[in-house]
Amino acid sequence: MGNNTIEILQQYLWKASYETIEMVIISLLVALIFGTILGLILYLSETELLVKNKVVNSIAATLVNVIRSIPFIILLVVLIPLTKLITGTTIGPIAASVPLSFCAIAFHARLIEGAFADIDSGVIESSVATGSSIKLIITNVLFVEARPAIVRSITITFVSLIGYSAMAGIVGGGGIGDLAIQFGYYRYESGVMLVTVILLVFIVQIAQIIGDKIAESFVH
Amino acid sequence: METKILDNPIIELKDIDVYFKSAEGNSLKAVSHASLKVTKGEIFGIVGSSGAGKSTLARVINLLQPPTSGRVLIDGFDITDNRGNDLRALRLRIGMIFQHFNLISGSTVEENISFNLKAASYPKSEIHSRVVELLKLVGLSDKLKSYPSQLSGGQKQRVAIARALANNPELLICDEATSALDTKTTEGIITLLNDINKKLKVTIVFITHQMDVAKKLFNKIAVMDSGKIVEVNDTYSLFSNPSNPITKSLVSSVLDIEIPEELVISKDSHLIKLFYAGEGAYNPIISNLSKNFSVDLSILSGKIEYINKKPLGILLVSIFGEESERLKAIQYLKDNTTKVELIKKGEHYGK
Repeated sequence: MGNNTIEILQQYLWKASYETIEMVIISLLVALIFGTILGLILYLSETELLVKNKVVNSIAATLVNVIRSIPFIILLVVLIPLTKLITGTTIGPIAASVPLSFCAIAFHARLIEGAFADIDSGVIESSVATGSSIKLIITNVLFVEARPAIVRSITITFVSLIGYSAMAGIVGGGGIGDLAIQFGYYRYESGVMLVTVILLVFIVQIAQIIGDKIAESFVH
Repeated sequence: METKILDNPIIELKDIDVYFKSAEGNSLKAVSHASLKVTKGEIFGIVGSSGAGKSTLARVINLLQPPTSGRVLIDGFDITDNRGNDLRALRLRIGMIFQHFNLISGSTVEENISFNLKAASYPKSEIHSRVVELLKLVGLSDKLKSYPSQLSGGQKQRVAIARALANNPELLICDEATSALDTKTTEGIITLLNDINKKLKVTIVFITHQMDVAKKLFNKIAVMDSGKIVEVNDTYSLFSNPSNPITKSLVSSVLDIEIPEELVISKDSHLIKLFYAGEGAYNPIISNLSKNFSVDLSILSGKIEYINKKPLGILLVSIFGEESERLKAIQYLKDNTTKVELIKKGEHYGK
């Protein structure tokens, strides 16, 4: 590892790491809120015993499918006007968080829908049979029974966001992935490439281990 | 007028049809023209083989399965079109337990039971003491903080029963509630349900394919086959005198004697099967027979079942003697037992 590599890392790695964390955390939080709501709407509106509603379900499903079918790199560009509208800029990690959030909401919504759909239908049936309100079933049954799967979904969304955030460099988002491309790829700094890859692998591993531990603690 | 209201059956199903649409668009008839009445306080069984439509019919009662046509009356009120809050209010009055217990696996026993109380907006401060009281009723006081996975099948069903009784329902629907349990655990659950029925005056509708459960628990039985109710009768009459072929085959699983194909009888004898029910079961018919007619008897096989604590017997007997005496003896049996079935008459080439 040459001096040049160490200099580059010293100068840019902290900043890049911070940008990645910023992008990923913002879009993860947005996805946790809106992706969970959208996933819940998808599940509730397709389940006969709950509040089956074909119109609501097809609107929500179409929205999710449209976002999911656009390759992320194109979504980055397509959403530039909206990004400008929301953040006032199109450059930097905050701006990159807008397309990342869109992508993560749709992605997370499908995972959450799956987490709910995997609940034993007998448990749903017995909860409905009690005469309970939908609200109580959501808080005391759906979110309890799906808890391990929801934690696993959050882990998957987080890991995917780390991956997508590498593309944010395209719109000047910065981040670890951008550092790897700018120096490791364009300037043949293999040392920078190696360190960033190791760092990304490390972050993903840690996230996965923590996620699995939390999910496991919810399994009874 | 008032007595008329009191006399209303707690459940009345009128001409219920349930169709399911398959993915190919074909419609499958799960329940067809089913009508029945359940009287307050009784334990009403719906029996039939799997796929007969009994679970579907049970789900019509609390509209978990809305009927395609027909009316559902609870306490004389037509609830078929109840939706939203009206339907929820109705379901609070109807407890339900299931074959696979269906407890919330991520919640403790206490949280599981609390859920039903919360559904009825039970005062928060009183939830804990009510849960303790319910667990005592089902004999699981020490399991308050356990998770369902830490309980045996029988214990899970007890929790499910406690949960179903949380809001003092008038009616308890049991869907194959003992089918996933072993014989001994089933006995325990049957005893518990009998107690609950007597103590709390809860009407019970119990769906099962287990005729052993039927004979011990039910006051009245409806038999279903291919979506139709083919026979309804009180338990004892149904077992002692089944009329529909389906009922006969269900009953025979509990009460019948296999006759070996190769059974050979001597030429001066009759092989007969005797059924006796009710008071007749206590009379010394067999000993009278050999006293009054010059015939000899040999009992090849026999069985007595107690249905609702009343005996129901079946005997496989061969009668030896002069043919005229034998026929007289058989006539005597016909006059004094519930049913006599002639199985075989001795052939000349017999032993």
